[in-house]
Amino acid sequence: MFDPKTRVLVVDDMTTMRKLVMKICTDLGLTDITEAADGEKAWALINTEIKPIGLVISDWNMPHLTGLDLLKRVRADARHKAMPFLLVTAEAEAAQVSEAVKAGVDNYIVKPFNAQTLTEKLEAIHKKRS
Amino acid sequence: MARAEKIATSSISLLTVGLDPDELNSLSHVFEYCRVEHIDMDLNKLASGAIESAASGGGKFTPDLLICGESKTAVSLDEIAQTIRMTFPNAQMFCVCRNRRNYNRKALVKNGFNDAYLFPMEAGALRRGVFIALNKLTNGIVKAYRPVRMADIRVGAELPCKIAIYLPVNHKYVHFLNEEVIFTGAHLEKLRSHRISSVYVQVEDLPAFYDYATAGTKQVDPAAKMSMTERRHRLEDETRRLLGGMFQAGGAISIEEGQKTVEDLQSAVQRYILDFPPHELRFQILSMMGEMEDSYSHVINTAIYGALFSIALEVGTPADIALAGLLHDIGLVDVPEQVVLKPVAHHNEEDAVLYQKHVDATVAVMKEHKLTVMGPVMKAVYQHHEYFDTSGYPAAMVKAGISKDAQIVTLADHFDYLTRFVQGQAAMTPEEHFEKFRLGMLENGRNVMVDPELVKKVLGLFPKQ
Ligand SMILES: [Fe+2]
Ligand SMILES: [Fe+2]
Repeated sequence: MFDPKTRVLVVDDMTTMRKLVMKICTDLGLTDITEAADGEKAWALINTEIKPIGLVISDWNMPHLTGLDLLKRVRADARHKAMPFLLVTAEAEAAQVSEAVKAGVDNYIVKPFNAQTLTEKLEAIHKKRS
Repeated sequence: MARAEKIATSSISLLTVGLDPDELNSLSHVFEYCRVEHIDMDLNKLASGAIESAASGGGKFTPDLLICGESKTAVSLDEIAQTIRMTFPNAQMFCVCRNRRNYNRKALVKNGFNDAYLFPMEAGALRRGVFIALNKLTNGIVKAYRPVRMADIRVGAELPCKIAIYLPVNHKYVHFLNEEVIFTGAHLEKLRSHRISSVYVQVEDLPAFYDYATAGTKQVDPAAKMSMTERRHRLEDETRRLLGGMFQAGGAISIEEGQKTVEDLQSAVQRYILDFPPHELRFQILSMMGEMEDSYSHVINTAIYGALFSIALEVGTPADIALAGLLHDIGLVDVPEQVVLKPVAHHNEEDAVLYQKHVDATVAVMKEHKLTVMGPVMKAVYQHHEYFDTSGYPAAMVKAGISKDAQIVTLADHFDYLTRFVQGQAAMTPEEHFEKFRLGMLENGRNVMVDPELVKKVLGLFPKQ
């Protein structure tokens, strides 16, 4: 599993959903969690944080820059090529997941989800990345 | 409430979120079985999980059961569903929509609700859904019931399960007979003397009851496929699936999807309305009068009465009339529910104007959802409030212009209206129901809504004893 000190970035335009995802992360033992309200803000954070982001958990459907756009930007940048990236989708977007896979997403999770499912997804990503 | 019930239910927590008075009112009998908190729609508060219980002096309240109303904010119901589901992973969650444009049952279920209901049309199904959830949460102590047809219960045969009766005055189901008891003529007399025409079976016992009732039906008619009870239940479930389900995806319905809905409705008409042994005709009419309202019961009753009258009177086409019956009032979804929930007799001028728009609304809803039906069906739908004496609406047509099918739909519509269960009114015998229908149609001193000859012929099917 991810080191509890991993810097986690949770991206969602909906505050309540962002807080919920952050709460589940805390429940899973992660201690260093930061947040962004859309893709642009997340991209800025990814590039300015002194401690590098070790895991991105991003919503798909957001104004300005979508989760998929953010993923593409991250993967296009040599510095972030290997950044673990989990995309959060709603049922309606689940059909377009192949696009995200092509863009290099590590895994995706469909809302609503519980702590158990998030753990499984994070474990799969951790295994793949180490 | 029995002691065991009281103990079991005091531990169940129910949270309602953003329900308005009509919705709360229609659920009031559910609330007796739980610790209940009502809150306004506040997603942040909900997501924090910190609902305080006013009753227990500010203690934390974790709902076992949650009933959520429509969002009055910009947040979509899908997002609300996801948020609540993630906050309370183990709760039974139901959604109540009043705006058909928000009612996408499949999507709401995918996003976290256990089921979603369109209010007020599906209020009956909502109550049943909540009682089934309570039944599970209390390990069977709180019971969930569904009405069964008296005609399916055979004198001299062993009952397959417990049966109960309903006391409308205090909204309670009362145990009547145990399983394996032989139902006798004396039992039947007892029910009759109390003017009880419907009995109830627990939802978990329904499969056993269907088997028993179908076996009985086959004794009389070996070719019969299922009992009246099972046909009725399947028709109710299918009508909800099709009429409620039609609203998904709003106006973006393809011609193929619309066609599929019409075909499925036609097939439901064939299987559950027209496919019955002829001797059941009078039985069916007698057993439907005075029943409590359930989801879509008015349109279903209109379809069944219409088909039966058409067959018995040899007027119009039964299949077209039944399909028109199912569709005729769908436009009521766009009439304000204060008006829909009020009996037509209590409408003031303003209410009447709003109510009368439902005919055009029905046509508009059908068009929007690509429900293309044959001309005669469309006519029957569009003319179901055109009256024999030109007092009808929307076109105030003269009698010669009104189709035969439409006249039968109008007859069935009013038959249901005049013979249905009325809250607060004493139960009536079949004779009293027919008398109310006769007075309402022939001697109301106002309008002659359908050809009096047709009314007399319907009454002639049930000669006075
Ligand atoms: Fe109507
Ligand atoms: Fe009607």
